[in-house]
Amino acid sequence: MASLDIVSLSKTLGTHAILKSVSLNVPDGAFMTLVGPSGCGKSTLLKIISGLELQDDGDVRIDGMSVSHLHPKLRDIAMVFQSYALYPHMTVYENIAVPLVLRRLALMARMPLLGKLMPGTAAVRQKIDSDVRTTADMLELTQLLTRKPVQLSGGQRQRVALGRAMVRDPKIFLMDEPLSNLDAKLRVHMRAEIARLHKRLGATFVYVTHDQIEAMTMSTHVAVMMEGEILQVDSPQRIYAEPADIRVAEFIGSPKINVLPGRVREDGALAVPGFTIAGRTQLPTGSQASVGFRPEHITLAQKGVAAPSATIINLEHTGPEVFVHASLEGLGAPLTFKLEPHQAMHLASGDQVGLGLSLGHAHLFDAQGKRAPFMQPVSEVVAGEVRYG
Amino acid sequence: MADANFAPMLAGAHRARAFGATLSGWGLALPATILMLAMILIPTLVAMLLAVTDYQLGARSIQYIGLGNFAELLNDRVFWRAFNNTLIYTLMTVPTAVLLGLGVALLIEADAFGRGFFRTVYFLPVTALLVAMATVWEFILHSDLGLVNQLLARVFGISGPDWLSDPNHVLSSLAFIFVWQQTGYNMILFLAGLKAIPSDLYSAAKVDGADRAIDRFLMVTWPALGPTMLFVVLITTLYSFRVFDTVAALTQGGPANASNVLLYNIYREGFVYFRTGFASAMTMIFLALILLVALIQIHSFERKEKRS
Repeated sequence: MASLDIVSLSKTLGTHAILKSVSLNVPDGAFMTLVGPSGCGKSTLLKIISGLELQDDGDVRIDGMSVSHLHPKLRDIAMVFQSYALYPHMTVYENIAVPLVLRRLALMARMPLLGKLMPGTAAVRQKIDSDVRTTADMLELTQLLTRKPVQLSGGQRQRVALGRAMVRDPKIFLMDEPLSNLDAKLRVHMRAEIARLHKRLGATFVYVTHDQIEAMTMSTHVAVMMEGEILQVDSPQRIYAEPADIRVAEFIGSPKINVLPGRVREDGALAVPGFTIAGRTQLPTGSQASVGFRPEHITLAQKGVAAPSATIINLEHTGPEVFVHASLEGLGAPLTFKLEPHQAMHLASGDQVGLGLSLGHAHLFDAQGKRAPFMQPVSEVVAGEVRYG
Repeated sequence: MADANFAPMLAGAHRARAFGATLSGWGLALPATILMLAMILIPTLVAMLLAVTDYQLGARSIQYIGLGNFAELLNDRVFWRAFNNTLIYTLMTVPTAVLLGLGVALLIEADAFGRGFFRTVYFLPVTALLVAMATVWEFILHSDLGLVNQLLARVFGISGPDWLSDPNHVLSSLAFIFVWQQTGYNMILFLAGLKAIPSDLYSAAKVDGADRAIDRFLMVTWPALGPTMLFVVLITTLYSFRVFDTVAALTQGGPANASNVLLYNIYREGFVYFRTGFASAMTMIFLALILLVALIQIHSFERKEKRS
């Protein structure tokens, strides 16, 4: 159990900046997920925390102590790899025992025959044995201890990798996309299992994934990374409800948030193609801005109410809900919104529908993509041709 | 009714097609089969038959003498000298060439610096024709003018032995030349083996506490190289047993059979003294030896496969 601090960490490979002065605080016992598209630097960050790679600048601190100069062994961290990285020639038992053997026995004592002659080895071996069995018991691996990794299923290998990480009770667990090699069904199962493990161990987890569902379902904290920077660190709920950056809003949530480009009018309202959103922003008049609506915050307008009109392109029935893709005049990309099946019963492609926008849930972003508040709550959508430019 | 009439016809067509497939299968395998028969199996068979005769090249008579040749071999001091020399030569070359090849491969893999350069340099001897290179080695190892002895004399003030004419040194000199060539070949094989080890395993080993290179080598590299190691040892042993060209080009087995080896002895008995039957008997022993090595190693490989 420990807290982790990352202080202005930078890493450059050639001319490409992989990490641009990244800072992050992971509180004791947190489940921090680093999520972002591939190539955003999240795996590099994890490797620097573990000591497998060295930073160009900045510091890594565990419990306030700098560990930047320490070998991975001395940082007291454990790591789970996407490929599991189990030693193929060793049994499950031996794999789990490795971190203990390497730490508690000297090279000589580890040798097959010579080791038996070294004084004290037997007692250490006994302690290792009981630790390995306790861990195996916890992960339901006891039946599999004599098997080799090739004889295990993906999920079992995953559990062995977790066992090898858990067995010596490290300060911090680092996990690098540990579920990516599993099939969809098993992934859901292991997601729950890892989250449960975190609760039971009460240890600090740093978890890297590109899968937003994993990030949202397992973590206590989510850090969204993009292009070598951390854009936002927050609880999963707040990351979704109050994205600090338009890139966060677009990355988290499936289907993607609908973004309408707009321009701030003199009266503070926002003009988007085809209609105006009334409400005061504090952004300078005439500046570019965007407004985002999540698919569940757009619905059909009530009959007789003036509303932006869109043409339905197609409907996707998933069972409990229907995703509607519709084009709005003047907007390049189609909008996506979510309806209950009964609402979509009479709709077909090519239909004209009025859009009901849930204005209380509008996300406003300034020209740089940073979140900006509406100073006065948005009150209405004014349909009609509004030209700008 | 119609079905009943069709059935035998269909079965016939089916049989004909199956027969056609068998025929074309044999047809495709035929060229390789003929070549194997003509180049390997029949010559081996002929050698087996000759081994129990007193046949001499060009002789008009041939007589069956049973195991006479083998009985003679048992008491042939030159044969035993060649036999022992081959074993000693192999014991000198195999560990050295295998470990050096592994060492060079590890060094090359360890750092990206100059990787292509060193790989090429170490592989160059493999591409060289050994008979031609033997001439170069003859110069290098010359007792007075050779590079080695010149160097020994000028730098250390030691007068080196005559590497290729001294009975105490000739075998090791030949072994050295073999190692010089075989190391590059083994290196390439080990490099391929090293490439196949996932880098995640090394990362895992570091996090697990293998902070020294030797720990990581024992935990990851050595076990992963098992199959490669077996193959390299097998191929180096076989090549070692088959040493001929350097002996023929540099020493002709001399001085006084100090560098005589099995294959060279067979060649001399068969093609210099024309004792074809006798040479064939030696070939059988040579063949048995090689088969034994191959069987031991294939057997241990299969056992390893089964265990993992």
